[in-house]
Amino acid sequence: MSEAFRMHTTARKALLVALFVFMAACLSGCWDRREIEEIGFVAGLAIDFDSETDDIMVTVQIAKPFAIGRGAPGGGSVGERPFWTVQAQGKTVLDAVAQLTQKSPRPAVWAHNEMVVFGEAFARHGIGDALDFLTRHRESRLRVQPLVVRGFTAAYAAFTTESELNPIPSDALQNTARAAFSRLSITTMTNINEVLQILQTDGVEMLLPAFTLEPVSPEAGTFEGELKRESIAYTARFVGSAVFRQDKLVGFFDLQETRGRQWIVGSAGRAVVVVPHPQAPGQEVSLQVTTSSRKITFHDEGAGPSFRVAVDAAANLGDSDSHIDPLDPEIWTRLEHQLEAAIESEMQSALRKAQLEYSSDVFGFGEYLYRRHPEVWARLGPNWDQVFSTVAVETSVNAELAGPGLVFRGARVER
Amino acid sequence: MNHVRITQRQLISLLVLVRMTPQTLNCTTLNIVRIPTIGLIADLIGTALAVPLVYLVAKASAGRPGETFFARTRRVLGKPVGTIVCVWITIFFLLIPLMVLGSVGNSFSTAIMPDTPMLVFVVVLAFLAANAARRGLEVVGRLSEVLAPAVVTALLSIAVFSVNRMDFGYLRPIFLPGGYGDLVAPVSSVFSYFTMFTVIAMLLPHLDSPRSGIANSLAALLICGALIVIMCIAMISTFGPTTNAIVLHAFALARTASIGTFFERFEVLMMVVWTTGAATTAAVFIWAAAEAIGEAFSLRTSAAIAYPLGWIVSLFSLTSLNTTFRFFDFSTGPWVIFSAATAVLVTGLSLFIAIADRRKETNPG
Amino acid sequence: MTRMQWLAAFIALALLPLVSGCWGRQEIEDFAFVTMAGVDLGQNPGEVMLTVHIAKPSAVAGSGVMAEERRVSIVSATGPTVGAASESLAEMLPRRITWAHSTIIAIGEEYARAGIAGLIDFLARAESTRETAVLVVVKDGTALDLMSAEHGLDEIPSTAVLGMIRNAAYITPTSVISTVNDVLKLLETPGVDVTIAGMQVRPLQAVTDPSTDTPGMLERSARSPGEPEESAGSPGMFEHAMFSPGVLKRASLSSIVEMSGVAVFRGDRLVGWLNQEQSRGFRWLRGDVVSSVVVLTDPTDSLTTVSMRAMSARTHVNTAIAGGRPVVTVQAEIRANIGDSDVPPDSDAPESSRSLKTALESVIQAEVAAMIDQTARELQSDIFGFGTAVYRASPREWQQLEGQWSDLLRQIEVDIDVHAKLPQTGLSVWGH
Repeated sequence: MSEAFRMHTTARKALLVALFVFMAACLSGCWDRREIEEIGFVAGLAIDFDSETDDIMVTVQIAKPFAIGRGAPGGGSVGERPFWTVQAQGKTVLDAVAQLTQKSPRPAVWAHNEMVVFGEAFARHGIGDALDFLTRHRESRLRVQPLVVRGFTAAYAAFTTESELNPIPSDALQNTARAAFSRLSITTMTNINEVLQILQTDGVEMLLPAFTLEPVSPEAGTFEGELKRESIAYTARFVGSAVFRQDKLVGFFDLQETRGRQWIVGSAGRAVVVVPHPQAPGQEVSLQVTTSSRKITFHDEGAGPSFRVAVDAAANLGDSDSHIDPLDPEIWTRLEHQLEAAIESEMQSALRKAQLEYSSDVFGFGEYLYRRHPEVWARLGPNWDQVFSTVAVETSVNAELAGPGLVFRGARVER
Repeated sequence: MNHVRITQRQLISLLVLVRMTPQTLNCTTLNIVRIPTIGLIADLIGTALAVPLVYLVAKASAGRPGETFFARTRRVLGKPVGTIVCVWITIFFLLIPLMVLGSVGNSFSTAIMPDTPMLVFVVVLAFLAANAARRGLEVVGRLSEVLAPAVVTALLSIAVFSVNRMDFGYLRPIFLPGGYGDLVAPVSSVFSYFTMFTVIAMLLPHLDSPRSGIANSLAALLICGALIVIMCIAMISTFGPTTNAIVLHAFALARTASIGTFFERFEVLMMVVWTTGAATTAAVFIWAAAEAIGEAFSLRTSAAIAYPLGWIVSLFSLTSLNTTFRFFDFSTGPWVIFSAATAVLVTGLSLFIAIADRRKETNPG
Repeated sequence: MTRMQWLAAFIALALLPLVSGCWGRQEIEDFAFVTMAGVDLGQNPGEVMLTVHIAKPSAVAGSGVMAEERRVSIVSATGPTVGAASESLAEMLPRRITWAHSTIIAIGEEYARAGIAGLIDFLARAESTRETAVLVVVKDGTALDLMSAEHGLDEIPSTAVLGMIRNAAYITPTSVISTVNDVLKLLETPGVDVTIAGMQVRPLQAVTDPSTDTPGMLERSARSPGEPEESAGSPGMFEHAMFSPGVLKRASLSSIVEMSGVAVFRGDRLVGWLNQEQSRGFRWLRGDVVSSVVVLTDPTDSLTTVSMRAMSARTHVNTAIAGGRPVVTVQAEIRANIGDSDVPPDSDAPESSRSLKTALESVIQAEVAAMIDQTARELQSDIFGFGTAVYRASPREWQQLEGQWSDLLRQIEVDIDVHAKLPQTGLSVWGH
């Protein structure tokens, strides 16, 4: 073994030792040490506007790890709510969050927060401040999902909802939103990252999922003994989406209007569309849309600028109130036509409301122009708000009946 | 030609598996009957009608070892006409994997995994089938030898274990007044699936004892006929008048079957039957089509076109048979007509070949 | 690679897409398992209210002790059709619904009277529902009533309800088991109408009599006025004993669920009910009784009550059209023995045995006749399928009669001949 090489190994050993020391220091967490017993994981954030004091009210839901463990599936019944809700007021969101430290025995950790709920009043005031806080904060993630509570209920009331199948409200709320989005297409799904992009893009406005809090009415069956601790008081129900202009809430889309918008922007997932029965008056048939796609084209000739939205959809027969035989070609085509008409009317109602009532381009027609026809955008872009309200949008739908489910015709019933 | 050999047992297994596969998927025959028992009669008549077809084709293909049906066709009819006939039959061969893949894709999407795109099933099965076809008949033969008894057992157990839900009273009445005309469509539908047996024209020359091909093909035909009749009786007596409304009969039967009250998940069995049956059927016909193309255009090796054929077949089934309604329309319309025409063509050809052979035998030289 | 290896690889590959579930991946935590479902009319006309029981994973898993928490969660949604209501449950549930484990489908009386075709269509078409689910109609109530009721012995309501229906169908036998598949078939078969098990939910009242030294004992409320009186043929047969809950920690049961005969349909609409005697009459006629206890008053001694245990019943029904109306001859053969008796019957008296036999025959005959009266003459519903018999024997004749069948049913002529055999006397020695 040569001398040079031995020297080399010595140097390498020294380097290795230095590395180990450095790593040990980092890994052990001697600096900035935070034990799990000493921190509170934020599981949800709600922001409200207090009109009396002009203050911003921040409510944070902090998970109780010991209670979650006990409430896990298979671990028996849930004896205690696995989270703790704490509230503070301030002039800005960060100010209010800072006030929280005075109340919470554990410092809040934001890295696991998945959801922010805005109260309607706060949203009408503009959510810019909240977005700024969430993007600037070191721990908060851009995949946080924004939601809007419709009605005069404070946003923090969302944390009073309970779901029997999931003990953590923010978790339950998110899963419910996901189902309403992907299986029914009656609400939207987005995250802070997308919201920021939309705010920075001209010619498109944002749309956030909206829900209301419904008291669990005692008439709906007396479910006594439902939960050990107390009966469920509120449950969340998705009611469509919240329409914004810039960062300010201007109004709401109901379920059909939201789905109309989803068809137009091409992000409709599955959906159930109920159409009248082709033969039996007063009876209905439900069709389950499984796939859909859309194509937008822009035309600028003669009568001014116009868009054409063509939607293709495929649906399965879900069920029917009375006997139906989809193998009869006449019924088959009539169902397809009715589905087309239903989808088209949803799109039209969304367009009408967005154009005439809110003048908010939640469809991103402006963005489409900016990307595909920059020369037109240069002309129309500066006063897009006015142009959008008057631009003609033609809609057309081509629907195909794909499958009947497990039977072709239903039971024949004489009435 | 290469000397790949399959045994008699493999031949029977292969034919049974191939014929039973469409029966386990969308069995559209039972959807076009006015009352269910007509389906049963159609099964019997259809099987009987298939006997002369299978006999003649088997005789024409097994008669002279080393020379295939196609080679003889081209010899008897002359090269250009013979080639056209070969291409026709090749297209017919390719229609079968097309239908089976379309049907299995639809069935999975309808019944088991509604969120999974049909593309996944079709492409995976087409790849497997083409792969098996590429490796040759021996592999396909061995596969069927293993799978066919399993599939038959599965089907019979589904029929047996739904017996407590059956009411044989539903087998009556047999005909509605003046309903003999109702038989035409179902009989042609049953028969159309039996035309799949024309694949023996490609198989018999590879049999280790070609002379036994006729008896073995007929045996396979009768086994299929018996199985179909048993399944049909089970379905009619279980579903009664709703038989013609059900989309997936064998699957629906599997859902009603149970062993006591502790085992009632027979539909898992159906998934296995579908996947293996469809893959093997597609493999057999892709192999047969590749072989036929090879002969029609005198290619030196034909196995290489198995993959392209697999892609073509899956592409067509994804674009043209991608919904249950489209599959229904195809399998009760164009398919029946095309297969009937093919059956007539093949029967005629076989007769012609048989006569030509006899003449040669009686006046040698 | 040997051939066998290749073969194994092929099969494994073929099954791979099935097991991995990479697409359409569904974890058990993502599912809401429906164990029982109920449909009622919604508040607005044309609306359907669907209520489901969803098994709570946490409550079902810990099965060792009686849970303090209800084991199912109850959720309702409304929609124009059952399918639409089922999908809109998604607005409220954090999990995805699957119907694969639903064993009971409850139907409110109002909904049943409006027609069950829409429900049946949904159950037949949907991919995760099972055709073997058992149907039950809630008499004088809504499906929600049945679904919010609790059961003393069984914490999972669907299991309790299914057990009750099974008992009533096999042991009493005063009910029927109708699955979705059965109803589908009956709706489609010419000349027969649907029957579905009936159930009732009654409020319970606490015992107020201070002399009773069992606190928490509950007693059923008095018979509701609409309830038909028990017929004389089987005294006290359907009387219920005191009912003691006491097994549920959290609260007393506020209601009790009990079987209540058979719901009779015409087409897909509920038209009336069979009481328990008539229901058993229906079962005698169908000839599928496996066991039943018939209580008789000893004809030779009116103070003695004898209960006869029917071991098997075989029936032969012949339907013919004579003089333009259906003529039905029923020949029933019942094998029975003596279950118990207040006073042991005199072993030396063959006439005693003979008279018991006659008494048994007349009770059964009366039950069958009462059932036919109620269905064919009152409700004009052909639940046995006399029409089907005609249709199967001669479809041509049926074509002519089909239109006026409900009128013909009213003029039905029934000849019932019951023949009872008393081969055994239980375990005691008593020859005849």
